[in-house]
Amino acid sequence: MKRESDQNLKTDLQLVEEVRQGERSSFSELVKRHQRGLLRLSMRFMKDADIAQDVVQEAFIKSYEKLNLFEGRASFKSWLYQITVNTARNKLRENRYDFTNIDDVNLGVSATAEKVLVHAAVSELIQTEVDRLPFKQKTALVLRVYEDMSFAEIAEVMECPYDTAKANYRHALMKLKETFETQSELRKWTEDVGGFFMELNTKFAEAE
Amino acid sequence: MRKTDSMKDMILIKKLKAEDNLELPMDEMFFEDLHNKIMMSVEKTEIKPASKWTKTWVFLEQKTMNHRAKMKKVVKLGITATTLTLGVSLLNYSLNLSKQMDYAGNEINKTSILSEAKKNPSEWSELVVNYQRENDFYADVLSQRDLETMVEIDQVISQSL
Repeated sequence: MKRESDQNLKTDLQLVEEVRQGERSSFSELVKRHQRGLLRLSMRFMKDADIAQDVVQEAFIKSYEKLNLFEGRASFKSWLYQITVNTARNKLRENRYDFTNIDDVNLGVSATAEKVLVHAAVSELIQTEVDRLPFKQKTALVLRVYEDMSFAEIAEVMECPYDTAKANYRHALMKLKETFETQSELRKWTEDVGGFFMELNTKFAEAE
Repeated sequence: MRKTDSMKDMILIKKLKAEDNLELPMDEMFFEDLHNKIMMSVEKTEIKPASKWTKTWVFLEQKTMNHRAKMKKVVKLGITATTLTLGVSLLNYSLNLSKQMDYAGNEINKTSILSEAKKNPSEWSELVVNYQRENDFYADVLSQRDLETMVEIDQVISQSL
């Protein structure tokens, strides 16, 4: 019990150093710390819980094998995320998973359940649009929006310069905005956004 | 405009978060199982020893990573500049070449005309007179060079006669 609490107090780098010295159990703590984040990230790309778990497992094994390559310049978390993103990309390439075609999404709903279903459909449409983004843009968007990472961290994960990470993210946002404006269901959704935005602008104008 | 754009982005991001439908397993048992599965695989795995080149390789890779984009830009710029320079040079060269060929052609023609005029001055004299007539339609479009040639022909003919 005491040993476990000691492990909790240690930083990732300290644990990594212990693993390098042959303390395999320290890796167990690293797994406990990061498995949720990695699974969440993996699920965003793989869309299947079982495959996502395989990706996480593979990523941890790779990271263990290559622990001597970890220099500690970036955080261990960024390094793990980098391995997971690369593993997910390789898996996607190997299996060429098909994503839902936007035309196949059925928007026909009964009047009674309309609100709930429209919300679900919009949510699904948004997800489909995010999935359609090129891999690098999607990665930047996922890491920024859903993982709340800084651009410096995203650059570390994506193994690219800071500006490139930022550009990928901006392109992803621009593409999403364009797509949302052309699709009826999403247009309504963006109109809500626009309405909110207009309201905000009016308030600003009034305040000035 | 920038301010409004960034505000729109912020709202878009908030909405994207709100519409996020990703469902992660919440129970501890699931993650306990996943952890055990991972650790079982790790037990069978060994950390690869770092070769003497590994550190150098990693260092170089990290060193170049941030410069890669700059390098790409420099290379692109270099290729564009070289292509443009080559294009302009080629155009210049071809223009010069065509001028030179033109000049050489004219020189050859001139020499052969002069030699022909020497051989048969009376016939050529007539031709030059016809050519230089005021009502000759082509006289208007004669270039300076043609006129010079005519003068030379005229001189050759008068010497021969």
